[in-house]
Amino acid sequence: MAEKSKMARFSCEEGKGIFDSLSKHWTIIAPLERPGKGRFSGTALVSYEEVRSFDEIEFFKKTQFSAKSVLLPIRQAMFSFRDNKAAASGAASDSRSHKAEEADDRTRPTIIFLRSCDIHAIKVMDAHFLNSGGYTDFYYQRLRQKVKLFLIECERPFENCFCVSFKTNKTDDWSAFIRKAEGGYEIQVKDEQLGAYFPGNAEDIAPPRFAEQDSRPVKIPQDIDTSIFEDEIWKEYTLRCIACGRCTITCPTCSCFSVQDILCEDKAGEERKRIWSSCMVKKFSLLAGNHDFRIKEGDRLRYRVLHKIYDFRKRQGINMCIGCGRCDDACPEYISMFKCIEKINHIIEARAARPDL
Amino acid sequence: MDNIYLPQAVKVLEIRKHTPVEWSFLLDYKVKEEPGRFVMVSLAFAGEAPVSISGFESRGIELTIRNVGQVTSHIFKLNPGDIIYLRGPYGNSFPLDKFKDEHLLIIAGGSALAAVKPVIEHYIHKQNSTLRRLDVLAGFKSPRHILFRQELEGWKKSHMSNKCIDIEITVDGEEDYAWLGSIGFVVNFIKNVKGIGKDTRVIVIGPPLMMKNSVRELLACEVKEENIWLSFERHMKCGVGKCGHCRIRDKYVCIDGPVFSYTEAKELID
Repeated sequence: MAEKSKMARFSCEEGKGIFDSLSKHWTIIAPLERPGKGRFSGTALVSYEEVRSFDEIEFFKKTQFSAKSVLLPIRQAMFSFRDNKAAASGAASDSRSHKAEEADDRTRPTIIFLRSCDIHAIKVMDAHFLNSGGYTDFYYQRLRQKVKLFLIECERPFENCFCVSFKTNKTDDWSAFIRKAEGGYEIQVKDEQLGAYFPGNAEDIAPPRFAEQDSRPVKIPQDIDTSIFEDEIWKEYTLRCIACGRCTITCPTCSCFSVQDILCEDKAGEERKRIWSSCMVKKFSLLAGNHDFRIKEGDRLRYRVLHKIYDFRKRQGINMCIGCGRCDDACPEYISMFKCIEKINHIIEARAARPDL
Repeated sequence: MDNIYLPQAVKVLEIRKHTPVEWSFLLDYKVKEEPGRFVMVSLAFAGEAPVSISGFESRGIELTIRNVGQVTSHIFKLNPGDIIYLRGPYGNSFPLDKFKDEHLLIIAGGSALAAVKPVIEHYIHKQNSTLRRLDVLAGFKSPRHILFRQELEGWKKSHMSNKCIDIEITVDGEEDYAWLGSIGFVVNFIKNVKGIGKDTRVIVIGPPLMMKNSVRELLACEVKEENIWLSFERHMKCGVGKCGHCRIRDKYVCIDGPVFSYTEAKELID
């Protein structure tokens, strides 16, 4: 790829100045290790946070949560209901005195440090929120326009990862690529605006290295029809899944949301917010009048897994699962996406071998 | 950049009470007549819900709402002149072009009749009816649950009454009312529909089990799969294919539906 790009090599000391000038205009979100904040006592949490220096960034450990909350905040104000009491007083209220007023956005331009798979995850979110069905999600687009992506390397896959199988192990879709090297950093910047922050004092920065081999490769099922819906495996998952929703919270491409109205006294009105939702949790599809769908946990798991590996691809042409394995890491019942895909393959193969069944 | 989520404040023009829990609201909101589509209705602090348009009138749209949920219970506190918030309409509509000069059978269970009312009115109100024959099979839980009584009577007496329209009202049980009409589930009356067969076009709308059983009976009456249309009801938070709640496999009921032909619908298993 013959893109014009700038290369630089800088020490940790020089990095401080660069970071300071960068952070004057940009909020920088990157993996950060926080000791004692993990799920179990004495363990650390590695997650996406705003960082204050390059040195603070955890370049080598897998994050337990993705960076999706930057683009799809856990809670996000949509608009508030305004009624102009003065205009409405006296006679019956008039529709002109009532208005839904869009929530403003004060988010600064943002840089996110991501591995290849997580950049693919943002492509999945883009496909869903920006183009799908002829509708553009205003709030997603508003944040997305402010975000630039910095690639970080992933030479070897982590435990429970299967990005190579999902072909998300490589990407060219970044504004800059940064590597932590001996005593400092190496960077390649494709984005002109960002290039201005870096010295341009190197020409021999090795291109990004990507994971080339999954420790456990998995085949992605190509054609899935409803005949597997009745299989026994979903019954087994019903016995195991506790519907906690951790898989959907840690997933970098799970983006379902619900809507809540919050009373805000200081703003003199009600504010409508959207909030993360999960298809794995009860009542996701409950209708007023109490009719529900996918009541069993196993059916909800099937719904989620097939969306990730088949249904989304059927609509958008790309897989929704990016093979990061965060859901496998997070499940308190040790339910594994990887194992589930293997089981689906086995069912399909068994049916192909015995069409009479 | 258009914000698809911003609703518009709209005035309630009139409230029509059918049963204690089913009222129609005429709203000052004018849209193109496309039966089958829905709007997202909201009130501050109550939330938002999808509601099918039950009438396209010169003054605005009519929504028929059943008071069964959080949003609807707040809507039932409104009076004419009050403000409600709307956005839409969303979703697809019934393929009226495919019914031209054909025999159309509409099977509706309970308050779902509201969503097909504009289809019936489309044919009733046009002097040059473009249907060969129209049958409506409307089922309700009991006589006191019958919705649009006046309209149902009016349709029977319309210009189509010249032997090409039949409105059959059935109830699941009598309860304490004296009821002289038919008793039983709508599915039991399908085979009695005059001229039902492979060329009949059918709309089925209602509770999931009623739709499932009706389709089975229709297929037994040799109605072709591609001549059956179903309208789905699902939980929705956005109406524009983003929130994920109404997804079934690779389809979103809000943007790909709510109307699906049976050839598509049979693949949509939750």
